[in-house]
Amino acid sequence: MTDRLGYERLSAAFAEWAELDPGGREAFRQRVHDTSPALADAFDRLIAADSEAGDFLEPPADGSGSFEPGERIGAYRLVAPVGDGGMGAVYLAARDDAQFDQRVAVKLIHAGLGGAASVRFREERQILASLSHPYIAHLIDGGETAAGQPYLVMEYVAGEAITRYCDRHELDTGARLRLCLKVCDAVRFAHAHLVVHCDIKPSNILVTAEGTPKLLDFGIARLVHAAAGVSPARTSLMLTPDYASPEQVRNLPLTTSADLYSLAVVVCELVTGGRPRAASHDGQDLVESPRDIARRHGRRLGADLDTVLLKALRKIPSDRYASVEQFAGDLGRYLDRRPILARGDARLYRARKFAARYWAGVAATLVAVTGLGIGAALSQRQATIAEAQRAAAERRFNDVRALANAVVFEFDRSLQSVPGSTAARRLVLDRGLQYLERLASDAAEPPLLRELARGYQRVAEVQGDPFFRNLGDVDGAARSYQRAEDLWLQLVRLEAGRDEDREGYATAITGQADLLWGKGDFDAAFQRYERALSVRTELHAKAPSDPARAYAASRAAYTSGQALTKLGRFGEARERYRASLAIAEAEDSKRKEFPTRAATAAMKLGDCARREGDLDGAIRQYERGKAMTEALLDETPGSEVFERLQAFMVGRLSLAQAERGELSEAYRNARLALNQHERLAKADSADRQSRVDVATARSDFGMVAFLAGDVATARDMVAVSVSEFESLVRTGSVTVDLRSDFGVALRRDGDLLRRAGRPAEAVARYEAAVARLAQTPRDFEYEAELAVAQARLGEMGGPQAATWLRQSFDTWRQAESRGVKAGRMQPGGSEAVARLISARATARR
Amino acid sequence: MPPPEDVTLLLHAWQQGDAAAGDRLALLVHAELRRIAGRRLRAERDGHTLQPTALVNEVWVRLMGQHGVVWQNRLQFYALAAVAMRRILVDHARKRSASRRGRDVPHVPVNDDLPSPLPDARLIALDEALERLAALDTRHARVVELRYFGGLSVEEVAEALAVSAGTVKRDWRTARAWLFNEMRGPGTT
Repeated sequence: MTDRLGYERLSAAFAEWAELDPGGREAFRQRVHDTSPALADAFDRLIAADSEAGDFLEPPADGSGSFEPGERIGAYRLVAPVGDGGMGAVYLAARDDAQFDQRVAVKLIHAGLGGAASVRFREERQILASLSHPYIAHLIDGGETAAGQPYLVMEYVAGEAITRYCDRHELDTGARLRLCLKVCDAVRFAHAHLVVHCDIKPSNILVTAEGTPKLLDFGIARLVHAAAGVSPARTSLMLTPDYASPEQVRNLPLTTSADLYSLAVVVCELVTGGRPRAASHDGQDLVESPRDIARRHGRRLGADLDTVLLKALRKIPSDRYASVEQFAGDLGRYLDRRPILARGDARLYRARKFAARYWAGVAATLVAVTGLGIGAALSQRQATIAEAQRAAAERRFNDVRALANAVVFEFDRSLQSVPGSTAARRLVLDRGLQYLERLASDAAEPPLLRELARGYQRVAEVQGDPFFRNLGDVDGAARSYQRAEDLWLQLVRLEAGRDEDREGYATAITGQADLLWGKGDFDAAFQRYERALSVRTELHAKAPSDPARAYAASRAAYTSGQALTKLGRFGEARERYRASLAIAEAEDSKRKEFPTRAATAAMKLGDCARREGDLDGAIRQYERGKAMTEALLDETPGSEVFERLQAFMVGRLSLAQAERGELSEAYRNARLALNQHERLAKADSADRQSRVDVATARSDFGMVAFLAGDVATARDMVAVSVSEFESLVRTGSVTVDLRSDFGVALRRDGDLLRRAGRPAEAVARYEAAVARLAQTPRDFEYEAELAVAQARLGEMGGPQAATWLRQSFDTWRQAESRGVKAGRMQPGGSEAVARLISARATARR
Repeated sequence: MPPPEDVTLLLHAWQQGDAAAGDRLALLVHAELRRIAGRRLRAERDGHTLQPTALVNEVWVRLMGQHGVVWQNRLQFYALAAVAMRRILVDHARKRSASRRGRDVPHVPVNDDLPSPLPDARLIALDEALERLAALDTRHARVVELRYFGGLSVEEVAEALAVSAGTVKRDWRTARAWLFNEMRGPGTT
């Protein structure tokens, strides 16, 4: 068959033949032979080919060919294919072991694969598997087939799309809305767990025969990205345009607000019969209002419901409801025939004038910045306040309470473990502080004073705590802490020492102490720490079963320990760490702070052991800390706090292993630690502490590499870490730890330069190292390092050599008197230096 | 590799009818596919386990980076990618069989249980047969190309070609049977 017309006739005939049943086919074939003999031969051959072709050219499911019923994937036996999702084939399956009679859906994912992608895939899966809600199809399991294709195992939902269900059961508007409220609850739940769906549409909302809605494919889009090795940051790969929010279509970053939009589209479709279309030009949100859509479909829509939907479908996310919860709230109000809140919206947004309007500014900022709906509570309060007749004092009291709680407390806490949020926090912080200052000027009653003190404290914590994610504003933090401390003292005097005031006081002076420590004023910091520790211990003793008090006591002991370490009082420090660990381990509660504290205390005990040369003890403690940290990570995978802790543990382990001569292990671990710190730093480039951690980890890795014989890597790493430190020192506040670690890196760089035959540069490095390590106040934790640096300068010769050697000898003697032992990482104990000194003396004679 | 935003813009532009954007996009797609496919092909022997669809998916994800694109554009991408994929695979197959001097037989008897993706000789034969089919019925050939090289489902092909799913199914069945015969030896149909 060589011409188009011929082929057209042939395929038309074949198509017709294919539609018929066997009897009809035979008759048809006969007819073809009779009426078109030219066609007959080709026709027969085509029919023959059709039956012989088998799976010729059939595209298989990616990775390993399509699966057949009866085959196994993981622990599941496939029963039947149930569809072709946008991301891969879906099968009904059951558990293979006869124990469970559980039907599941197994979904295979089209994706390219890579090693790191699997890790990410697993991490994401764990986050989604933790979403347990009656209206969310549960993600049960997941993995990769033998061929490396990722798959997911989900709760099997036998149901139909919500649109069909509502139509088939002829539900009225009220019933439809009530069903939607259940769906809203599921979405709200997921948002509270910081999971965005990204692809809400009717085919993802199934309703079972009992009328239970189930949301499918929650966050699956993220998993697809994860499986393909792409960071699952924002949008889904395969969207249905009809339900996608304007920002999704324009590839802007997504927040939970995008889910709100898609959800609203579904609700709109259910109550009007049609879907809204976004207007293509600015100035208009939709092409037609839901009311008009309803009219088009011959239905009527209540005015309030129209308003609610319009608000949820606004083009700009910050114009919509701040959360799904709010949206559901108004839907509920509509159902109960109560006034909806959305109506007042226009007025609120336009008028920003009178006192209570401070709220509008803060709330709007929060919504725009976080999309997490914390501002929802504020907007709600705003509306309530505007309506209520309250005394000015009482209203302001509530204002402060709401601000402190919602803005600074909950808001900050919820962002703490999300990487990349430093800029957001800074923004909210500024607003919060402005507001507090306005109120502080005329507060007098204890309850208000208390709230203010707490507010300042919280603000100070975010402003400049050097141990956590900080924004680098140490002076501001000091001012805020001082304000808090003064307020607390005032309260203690006013109300004759209520427990909560004492606690507040202890917290404020601890904060101050932290700052002082960061600046290097160890003595002043230590005094405050000890004062705080005694208050905390007393409070803990008064109510031993109160976990908050226990934690505070544990932390106070720990921080005292740190201060003592810096002061060189190592024995006392170890006692504090032991106490801290004991309290933390004794606590039974599920709160994660305890194992975290225990893990860090174990790490510190490991450091104590390492300093004294007890390497077995050190490794034991580090392994202990590492195990605790990993248990925490299992429970909250992806938590950046714990990942950081883990990186520290692994890094410490590598140092101890290097000390013991287990160099390949040490090398591997040092690299791992560095990689992890780098990854964390990348996630939030505004965060200073992560960058400090990277520089330190890099310097350590360089040292270990050198000991392991990989001199090239050692040189690169140490040189880069030196420039990283230089940059950090130039661009922000220099804590004592930073200065000390910088000094160590400089010394190591000097060693490598000397090895490379560049003595003049090496000398310069050593001098710089000594300058930092010898600065006052002296950091006695790094005394041994100072001694090494001094010794190096002595070894380099020159007129000052003897002086340097003598200084090194003295420094070492002091360090040894405090219990420090020399080792690989800090070579050059006092006898070694003494030998060197006498050797030089001999040479000169 | 241009940043993902550019690819998105190109796709949008192309969708609006900008042919030049389409050309540029085709180049990008082709380059990226070639890069990835090359890597995979080098690792494969005879391309027996190479999955064009997985590759296309992978390119999609890489080009789009962290941004997703609306569905219609994805299909257009796949349509582009299918063409590029076909060219790359076939070119590669030709190069390899040219290097196996003399041992290459253009017509290999069809086996019923041969898995698709095909080894070199059969891929070349398919390509040629597909060309012949395209001369007879463009849409039929396109359906095969999209399904086999692009990995699109029936519904997706329907959407991409703006026809019904039923039409696609019929086209596919017919074309497949025809190609099956063709590959037994040209001129046998």
